[in-house]
Amino acid sequence: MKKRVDGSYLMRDQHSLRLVVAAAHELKTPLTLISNLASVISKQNNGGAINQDHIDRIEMSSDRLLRLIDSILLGGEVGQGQSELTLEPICVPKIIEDVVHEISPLARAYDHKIEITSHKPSYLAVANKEALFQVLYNLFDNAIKYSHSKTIVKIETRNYQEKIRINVSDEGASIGSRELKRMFRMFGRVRQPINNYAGSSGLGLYISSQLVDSMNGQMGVNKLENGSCFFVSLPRSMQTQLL
Amino acid sequence: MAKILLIEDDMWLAELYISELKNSGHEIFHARTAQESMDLLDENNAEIILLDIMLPEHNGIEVLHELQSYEDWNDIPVVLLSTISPQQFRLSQKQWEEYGVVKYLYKPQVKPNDLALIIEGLVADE
Repeated sequence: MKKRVDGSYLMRDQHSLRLVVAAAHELKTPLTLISNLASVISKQNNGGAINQDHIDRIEMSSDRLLRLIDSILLGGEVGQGQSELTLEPICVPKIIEDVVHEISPLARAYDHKIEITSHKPSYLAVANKEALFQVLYNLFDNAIKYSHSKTIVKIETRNYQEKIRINVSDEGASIGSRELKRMFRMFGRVRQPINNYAGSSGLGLYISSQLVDSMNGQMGVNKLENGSCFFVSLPRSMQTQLL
Repeated sequence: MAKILLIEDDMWLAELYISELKNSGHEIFHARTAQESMDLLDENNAEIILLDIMLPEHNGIEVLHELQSYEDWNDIPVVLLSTISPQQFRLSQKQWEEYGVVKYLYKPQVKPNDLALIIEGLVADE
């Protein structure tokens, strides 16, 4: 038997990752187990003896917590300058579709409809796929959390002045002008969730704004007559399609 | 059907994966540590290795390193199964492939049923 491959590049990152990864592992493993068990019970239950809504809520809540942990880890690393995001041309409509696919059960559970408009595959932004996913997941999650039930969450993508802009509009409680200023700060929650939805940490928008900053983008919110419109704008890629 | 070595230290997660994979007709050997996995590989001919990264004593990356050091084992396809996001490693698909990694599965996004389907796809490709 003989040694074959030099593993130096694989071992290189190990030391710096160890602490962060250990903490994430401790949280993520039991949550993954809860989510997986709910999935197995759901399959076995097949609409039977156990209240299916309760099983679905266990699965959705644990999946949402897992997303939050991912977001905190990614935002924390970037915020502390421990890592830089790799930026590349990203198909924004595809990421929106992926996030909507993942969050749809939650929207259905809370009686919301998600409406996507101006959805062109040619909308490519220079961004980081994982970070954009986390940012949009947070915005869609908030839109569901803070909207009155049986309302529509609208997601619109536009090509605007060399930027790709994503608008996420909800029909929720209005936000005051003073509150707008502190929305993107750490623990800056200003609205109460509607429909007994799981509480907010006040970290989501703060982390999202840090990630958007790292992608050379802007993030903001505008008041609507009935609700709010959060937006993210990112530099548009000069490419017209993914290579 | 394939002979699969599952290296996973969390017993409850391992039970779930084993149950789903056995239901799909696979034969499973389970190790909780790097040392146990080496012992099982000596005794059995695994066709696929399912490898967790965060393991006690020696982690999954060290196991990968060890597997690639031996001609008897370096061509066994490895599926990484981890709570660490693949992005944290910043390795290309080609670099993973040098280590025999044919797939990187991010545990929080893979349900037990999905795992069985992915393994079936790999067995069909072999």
